[in-house]
Amino acid sequence: MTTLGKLMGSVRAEQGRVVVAVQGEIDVATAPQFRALMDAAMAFGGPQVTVDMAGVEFMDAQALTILGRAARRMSVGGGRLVVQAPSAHAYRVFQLTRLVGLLGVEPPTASGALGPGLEAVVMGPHARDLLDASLELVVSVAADVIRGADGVSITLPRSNGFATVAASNDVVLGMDHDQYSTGEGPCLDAAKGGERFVSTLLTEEVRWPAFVPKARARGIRSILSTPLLAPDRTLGALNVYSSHPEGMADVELDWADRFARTATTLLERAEATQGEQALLADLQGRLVTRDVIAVAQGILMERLGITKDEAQRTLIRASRGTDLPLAVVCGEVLASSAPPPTVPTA
Amino acid sequence: MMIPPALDIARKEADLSQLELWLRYFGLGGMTPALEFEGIMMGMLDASDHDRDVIAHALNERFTELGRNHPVPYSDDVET
Repeated sequence: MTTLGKLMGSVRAEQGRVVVAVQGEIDVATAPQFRALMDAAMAFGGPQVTVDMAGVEFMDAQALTILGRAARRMSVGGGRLVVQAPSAHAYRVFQLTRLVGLLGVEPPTASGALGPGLEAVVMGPHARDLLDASLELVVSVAADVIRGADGVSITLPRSNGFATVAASNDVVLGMDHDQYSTGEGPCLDAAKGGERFVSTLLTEEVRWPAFVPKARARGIRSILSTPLLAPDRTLGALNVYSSHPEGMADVELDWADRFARTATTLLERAEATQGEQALLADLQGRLVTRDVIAVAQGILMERLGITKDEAQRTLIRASRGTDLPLAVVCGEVLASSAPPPTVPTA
Repeated sequence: MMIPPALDIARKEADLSQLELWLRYFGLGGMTPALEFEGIMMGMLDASDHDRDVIAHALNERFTELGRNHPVPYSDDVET
């Protein structure tokens, strides 16, 4: 392992591929060392170079340029570059600059995607993030507050169907899955149709003939599914089941509605926050590329004695000719002006 | 060279909102504020050749992502 400045790196060959592992910061100061590591890896001549970026705490356009050049070199030689296990920061940079596909970036692992702060939040077995943790809290409290309730769950639509995002116990989770597998049931009808569905006595229920026997086999006697209603659409459903012979009194329907409204508010706020964060993240990414482009323009102006507009035209022409994004072309201009690497290659 | 609102037609073909296109244009070094940018796209405000080229490039980078090959012409392209 080579330690230089704030970057540590190593190159090793394993199982038909070459792995470059980097830890620390890739910036203008450590870029020459990162470039040397990548050159050493490609000098092995193997079909794949994998860059393990789990330990990358910071990276800027310099790293993108080096990776972009490496990806193209590997592609020209019939091989490929893969960026593996990017840290949360690194993956964010790849996403913001839209280079995930171009650079063969694999998604981060689940633990890499969460910040350390979130892991300190008490999360239920199904929770993946703060929204899920909040929804788990809602179903847990609902199961305690609604008299006669033995289990509460929240169903949300997904791209390939429906999923339970929070469940107070395994029985209600199993009940939900019975509905997904049979394609019928009160929670599906509530989540799709935006209406409340109540079955006060499953023994006499004639709707959902494939699902009801499965629910009864789990000891469930009554079910209430309340839709999560946003102003313009149905977001999902909150489901309550009871195994008590007397079921749930009508007043409990009001409580179910209140918890459904709480869940709806949480979901709407999460969507709004995601939208704002996405916009901010996009803007931050654009500032990075804008900075790279401005510096590249300045370098060309100095080098060629041309105006800013002429420099921009030159760079756009190069981007058109190479089919590379303008930001990558400009990154190469920056890289070509950096001092040569001082670390001897393998 | 395409003059507005043909650029706006290209924007819709590229499935970009005004804001999304402005962000891309901004990321490529564009200097026009978002509101004036919308005016340019609607043909209500004039823009320099340079500005139109940056807009064209923002659109073409998007079209490249969609698998198309630079359909939006630049100011130095010969009109056919």
